[in-house]
Amino acid sequence: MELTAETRRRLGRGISAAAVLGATITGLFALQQMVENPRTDDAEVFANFIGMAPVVSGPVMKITVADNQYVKQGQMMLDIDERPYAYALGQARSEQAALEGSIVDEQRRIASESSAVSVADAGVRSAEAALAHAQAVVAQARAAVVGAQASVDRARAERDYAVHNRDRLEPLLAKQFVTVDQVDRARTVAAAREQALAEARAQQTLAGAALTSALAAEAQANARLEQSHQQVQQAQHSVLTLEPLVAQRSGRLSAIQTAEYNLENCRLYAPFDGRVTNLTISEGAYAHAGQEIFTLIDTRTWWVLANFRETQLRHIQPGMKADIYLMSHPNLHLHGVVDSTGFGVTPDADLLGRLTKGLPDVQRTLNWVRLASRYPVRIRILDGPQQNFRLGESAVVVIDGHPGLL
Amino acid sequence: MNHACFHNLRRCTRWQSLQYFLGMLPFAACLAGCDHAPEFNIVGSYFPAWLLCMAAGTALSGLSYLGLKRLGVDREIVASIVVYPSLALFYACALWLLLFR
Repeated sequence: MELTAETRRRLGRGISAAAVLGATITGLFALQQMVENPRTDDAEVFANFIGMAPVVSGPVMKITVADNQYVKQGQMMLDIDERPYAYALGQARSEQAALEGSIVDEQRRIASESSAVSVADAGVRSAEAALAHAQAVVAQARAAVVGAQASVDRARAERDYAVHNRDRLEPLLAKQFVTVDQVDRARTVAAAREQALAEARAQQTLAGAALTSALAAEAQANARLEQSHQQVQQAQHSVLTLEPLVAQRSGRLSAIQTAEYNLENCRLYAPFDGRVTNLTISEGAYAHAGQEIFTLIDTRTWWVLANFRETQLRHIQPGMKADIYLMSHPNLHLHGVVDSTGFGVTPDADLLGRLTKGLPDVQRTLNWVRLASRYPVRIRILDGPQQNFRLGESAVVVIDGHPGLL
Repeated sequence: MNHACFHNLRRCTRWQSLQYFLGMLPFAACLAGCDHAPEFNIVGSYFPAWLLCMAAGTALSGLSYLGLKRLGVDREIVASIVVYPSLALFYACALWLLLFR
């Protein structure tokens, strides 16, 4: 089947045109695919991981997990020597018991001091009674003074009468108008009245003295009452309070709780389902608080961290679906969803200069052609063997952007 | 038969060549259905699919040249320096779009 020259010429031109046209069209479709469904082979499987560090220090007594083992949440992994922490808990409890004992003792002491206050109160009431009595005595003495004054006045009046009577009778004796006996009687009565007056005056002096004495007694009773009041106050002030001891209760309780916390944390439990990694110690190793012993990979959620050029990022929105291929299982087609795109990478030291203190470190050289910055995009893997992924596995990611024409 | 044809391409008839390419189509369709990662592991090195497509496109372009030569059309190709690379690009893009889109 030989072709004529004309047919060959036409076929040659047709193939030439078709090849260039086909290359252009398929090339454009391929370009559209690359733009609308961003893809990268710079991707790795990633999971969050934590460094397992004990809360307490001590020698490791038991390790119940092995390197690379899968652990369930709550599974015991490590046991640190509990004894020192058990002793510390015992000591904290005994200190709390001692405090409670001191509080009981102090309550008794306070009760006795409160009784002293009652005694002082009774002293006040007794002093008040004594004062009332002294005041009554004073009133009585004042009445006695008034009575004595009246007695003196009466005795003086009677003496004046008797003296006047005698003085009237004596001149009459010379003319014999009265008898000697009458005069003598008048003289005797006058003398007696004089004596009675003197006696009444003595009684008055006595009553005055009694009043002075009663006043002094009243002042003394007053002073005693004042003293009793002061004693009550003194007793009240000397009563102790429980506050300093009661305030220590929360401190002692906290000490117990801290000791319990430390004791509980002698055992390390898996905080989530995960895989033990980088466990390179055996029993007897000394574990320091806060220092990582091994790493636990959180296998609950797996991501692919894929680096995309900044120009591709605007075609990638959170929530977009993604096709994921792991190079360990190239025929396994996994599905994912874009969780988030990265918002920061370390600036290029060659371009921006190193970030230092002091003055900016600006490079003198510059490139005509620059490379696009790339940002990590976090894509959550939705299916697949969640337990058997390996952190750092090579992956290829194709984002399902807008569907293309083909 | 196709296998033999591949080794003795110069002596193949045009129909045998056509049969060879037609025989490749189910294989290509199978590849598309296999849903393979767009990278290939060659002794621990991952080669991107587009690179292999490019290699395949270049090879297919060479095969096309041989076919055209057999038909005697190769002398009638206008600006072959553009057409054969275009053909290679076409094959590469077509393969890539078919298998790894």
